[in-house]
Amino acid sequence: MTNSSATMQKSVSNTALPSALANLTERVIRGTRLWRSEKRDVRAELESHFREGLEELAGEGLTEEAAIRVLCDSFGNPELTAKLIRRGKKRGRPMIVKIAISASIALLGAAGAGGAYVAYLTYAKPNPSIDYLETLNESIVEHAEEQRAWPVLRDTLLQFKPMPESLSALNPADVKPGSADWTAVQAWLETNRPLIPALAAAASKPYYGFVYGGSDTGEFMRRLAEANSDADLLARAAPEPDPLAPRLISLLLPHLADVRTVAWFLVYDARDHAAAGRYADAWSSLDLDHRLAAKLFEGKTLIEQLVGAAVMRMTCGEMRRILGEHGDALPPEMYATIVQSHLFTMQDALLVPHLDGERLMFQDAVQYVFTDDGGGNGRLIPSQFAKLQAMGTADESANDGFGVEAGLIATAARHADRRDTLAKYEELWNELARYRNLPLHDPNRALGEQRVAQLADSDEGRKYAARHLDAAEPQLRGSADSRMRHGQRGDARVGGAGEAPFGVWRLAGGAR
Amino acid sequence: MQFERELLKGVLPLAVLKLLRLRAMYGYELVKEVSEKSDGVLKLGQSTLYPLLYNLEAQGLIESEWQEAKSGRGRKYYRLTDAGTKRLERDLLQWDELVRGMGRLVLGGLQSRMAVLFS
Repeated sequence: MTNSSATMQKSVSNTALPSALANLTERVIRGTRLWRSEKRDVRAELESHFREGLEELAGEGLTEEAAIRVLCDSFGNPELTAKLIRRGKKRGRPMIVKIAISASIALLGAAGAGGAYVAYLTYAKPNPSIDYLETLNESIVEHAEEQRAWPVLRDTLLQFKPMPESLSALNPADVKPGSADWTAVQAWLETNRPLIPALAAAASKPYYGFVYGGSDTGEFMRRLAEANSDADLLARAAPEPDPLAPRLISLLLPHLADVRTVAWFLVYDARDHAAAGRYADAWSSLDLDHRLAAKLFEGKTLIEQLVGAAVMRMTCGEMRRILGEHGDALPPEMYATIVQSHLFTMQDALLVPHLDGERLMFQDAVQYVFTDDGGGNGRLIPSQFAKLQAMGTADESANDGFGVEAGLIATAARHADRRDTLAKYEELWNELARYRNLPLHDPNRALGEQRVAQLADSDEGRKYAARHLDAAEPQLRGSADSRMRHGQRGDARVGGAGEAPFGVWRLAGGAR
Repeated sequence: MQFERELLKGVLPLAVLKLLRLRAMYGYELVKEVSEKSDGVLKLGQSTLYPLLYNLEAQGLIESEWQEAKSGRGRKYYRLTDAGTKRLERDLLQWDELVRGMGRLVLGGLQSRMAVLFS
């Protein structure tokens, strides 16, 4: 038997139906929310039903009005009828249609979920609630400004003339009195020598005192950029930084490159004085360099500590070189002061870097890439994560290795999605600190590094950000190795000038 | 008598299938036949009938066809399919068992009460 015939349906619907019954039919049809063809079929059948009823009841002697009333009363609830008819008709639809509808709903659902995800990517905001910078700065701002080196250093750096480009491309070890570029070096030295007393004043302050992310950081960058006509730096010194950008240590240290330039300035200055036989001035410049480096080493961040240590090593190396080259020419009392100093004594404590700042800034980065309460237990915000990654691949920072930091933090932060991750991270930090604080020759020192290396490639390690630690650890090891190498040298005149001979030198009145 | 909706739920499809085994019928005719053949015990309103017919059709137990009546008006006739016939036979057996079981249950209770009254 074939199904409904459109012609037959039409012949039914063309016949007039009393308005009460027509309205009732209409209510049911409207409530079914079926396809048009299905509605047409149901309408024709209901109308046919009513007409049969009218005819039958008329045959029983009822008036049309009474017949209509009987039919309406016996009909039942039109809304419920519509609902049940819809259910029955839908059940009778072909399987392929049902599958198509289900697939469409699933697609729409997926599109909706995708849209919601895009909206989440676009509009989700982090909720940084802990000011880790404040924690980092706590022990710094408690000292009065006049006791801190940074304010003086900042003003001096702003007046400091940058190294000519022709010199900055050279290997400083090759730039010596008598070399082709020395005339240019001397000109640069002359320009900046009036600033040496200010540098000495900074070095004489009891505390380093650089405030991380302080209000003057942007201002310092802007003034530095203007002083040096550095358009790139000016662009980075935006007056309104993105408040939702994760704060990275590398971005908080705008002065680091200039401090390194000052360090080389003082080494060149010492070379110039030594070549002219002005040994006291040479030693004085190296001492100043060393003391400024020691200030930098007080910094809370690993990079400051490493730069500080490197400059201290550099000044010591320069001292050894001058001692070797000009030792015979030194005045006897100066030579005696140097050789009687603690040349063979390593002051280990002076050069043991720490990672306290890195730890705090890692936690800070976590709260900038998660919708959390600062505990790292929120949901990752992909746009914030991408922002952090982008910060890590910025050309300038990537060149000097700072970009690696952002990339590692980003990777680590991605896995720091639960409170216990941060807790484990802390535990790992503390464990490493215990190993690092063992004596240099203790064979167990290597255990911490081995533990991190093992964790770095495991899922557990990624979760606990061990890769971040694994990247930092060799730098600490390098520092320790360096201390061991210098400590093992026994040459009285050259190798003996270790990392910290300056204490006695200063006591002897050599410091500016 | 007004029956509980749940009680009628399984009965009406059986009634409709049973009637359609006699011959093909259209909606209004089924309403009348159900009432007449059950001595007025069962009554089918449109709100019950058409959803029921569409459900049975969706299950493949009945099929429909528009035909022209003598009056020239269109009527949609429903008839039993082979699957519907099989289902009806199965349901009738079940119904028979059910009625006998319920009969024993109800009459048994009645007999016990009567035994107490006349002892």
